[in-house]
Amino acid sequence: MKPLLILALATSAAAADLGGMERDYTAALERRAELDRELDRRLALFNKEIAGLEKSLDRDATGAAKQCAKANQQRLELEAAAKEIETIRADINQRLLKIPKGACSGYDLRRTEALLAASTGPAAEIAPLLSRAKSLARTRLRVRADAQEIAAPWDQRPGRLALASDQAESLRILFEEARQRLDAARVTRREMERLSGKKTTAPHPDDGIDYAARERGVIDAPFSRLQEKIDAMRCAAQNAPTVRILDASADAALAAFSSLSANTRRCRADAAAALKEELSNAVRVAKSVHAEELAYEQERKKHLSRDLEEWKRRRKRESRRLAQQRRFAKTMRPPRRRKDVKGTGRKGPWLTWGSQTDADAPIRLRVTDVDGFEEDPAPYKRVLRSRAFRSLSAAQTWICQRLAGVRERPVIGRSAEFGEEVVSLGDEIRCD
Amino acid sequence: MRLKFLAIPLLLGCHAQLGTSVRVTTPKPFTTPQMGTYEVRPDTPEPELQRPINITVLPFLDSRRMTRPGVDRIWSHDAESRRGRVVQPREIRGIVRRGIERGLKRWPNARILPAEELDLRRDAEAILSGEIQECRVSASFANYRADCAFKIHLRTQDGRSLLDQPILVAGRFSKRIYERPADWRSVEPVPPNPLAPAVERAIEDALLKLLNNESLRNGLMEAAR
Repeated sequence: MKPLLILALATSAAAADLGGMERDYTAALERRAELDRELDRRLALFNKEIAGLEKSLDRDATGAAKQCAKANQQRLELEAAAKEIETIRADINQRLLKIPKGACSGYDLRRTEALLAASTGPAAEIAPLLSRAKSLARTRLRVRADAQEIAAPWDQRPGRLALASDQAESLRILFEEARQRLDAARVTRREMERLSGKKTTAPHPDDGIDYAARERGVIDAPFSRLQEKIDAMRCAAQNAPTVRILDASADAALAAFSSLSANTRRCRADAAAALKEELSNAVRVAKSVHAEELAYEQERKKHLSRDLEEWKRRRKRESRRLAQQRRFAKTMRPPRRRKDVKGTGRKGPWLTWGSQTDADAPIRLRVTDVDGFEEDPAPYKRVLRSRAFRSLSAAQTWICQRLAGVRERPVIGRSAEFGEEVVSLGDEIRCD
Repeated sequence: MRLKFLAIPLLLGCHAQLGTSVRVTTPKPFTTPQMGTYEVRPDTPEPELQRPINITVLPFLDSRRMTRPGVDRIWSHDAESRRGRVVQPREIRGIVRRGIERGLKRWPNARILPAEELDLRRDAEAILSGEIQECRVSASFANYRADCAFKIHLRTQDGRSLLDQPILVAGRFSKRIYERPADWRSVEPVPPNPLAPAVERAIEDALLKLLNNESLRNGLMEAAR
């Protein structure tokens, strides 16, 4: 009984709810349609406001962008100037490394002066470069400040965007409400379907509307667009060399240059001192060279005649020694064989004339009287024996005695080894 | 008297070589009245200096290491020593200096200022100095050979170099003494006299290279500018 009662109560309650629900649902749909209309109206107002804002922002942005571009251009120029000063400094420092630390020679001085000459032009450029760069830096700061001044009212919050922001806030609230209502309508309809067993005739809520996406597109997008434009106007700070950095760099370059010229002065002093010392020695050295030459000349004169005599003596002694060697080499040979008997003319220069060489002859005879020699060679052979004489006349007497029977006249005496002992060289002996 | 004038050249002309089997040919005999009186004539024409300049040639430094003081001190009258036949004659600084001075004198617009006067006058535009790095002469059985090498500096009067780097010149002279000796045993000791001329010729060779040197010419032209 009790469950039946509960079922009957539930069924009647559900029937009563369904009717109420349908009424409520219809009313809710109407209110939402009103809300949509309200949203459209406010959105139109909001868009109008945004369009106005954008228009004036664009007007300001044109002026600010001009200033910003100028500042940027100046920044680039400033960077170039700073780079130039830095290059000059690096160059001079590099040159400074090439200067010797110790005493400078003349060659070092030449190199150093060339380095200084190469650095003088760039060093003179530093001051004008620096002053130009400094004025540029100051102008740039001013120009940037101008740009930022134009952007300043837009930066303030709420500032110029106050009305638009308020509108956006109320729009957001409306969107939120619309979203909630839509959700409630959906839930209610589902409930009605469940209660009526899917037989309800209530219209569907308009599911096609995505309020969140609409909110993003209508409110967030214009705001971010505005913000971007304001940011661009602000001429965002970009690092450029400051006056202090420029000053430091120029000071370093000038210091390097002055160090270079100081080193050049030091080199000049070194080289001049070295030359001066050499010059002060020059007179003394020249004198000593002169004295050396004089001494040598005296020595030379003293030795000249003695040298020549000694040279002659040595030469003679040497030739004699060589002749002895040669003769020795000839006598130290194996004993003659049978067929080489004495007197054949093939061996034994000491016995026969035919094969006798110049060097072996104590006295060289030019024999033209062949018949006389063939008749009696004895007197010729006797002459060949070596013998010392006291004088030329003694030699003449001796030789002429030996050659008494020889028809040939005169006899020329030439000797390689015993020449002096027989006759003086080149002398002629006549036997009458 | 007239007979004497005739006889002396005849006797000299007829003086025959002593009885040797090889002929000895030597460089010019040791009869230079004053050494270093030769003329150095470069093959290239002398440079045209823009204005007259005074050039001083300082006596060279001798940086050779003396190995045998007895032999190296003077022109040796006999190059033979226990260590071979090599000598380093010391008395060549005058020869070098005179040679350079004689060579430079030939250049138009170049005047030589003696080093002794430089101290008083101080108006030389170019000062040439240098050092003897090597100068030696050797005599073998077959030839003489002299090698000399110098290092030259050219500076202005305030000590600045007129050259980028020192000029190095080397001269050489060698001469065969014997013409195809038939028998090496018959070779006689080297006559001493031609040693000095051989060194002189080597110095002359080196100085010729110096006076032809492009950087020396450029340096002097820079001094005349």
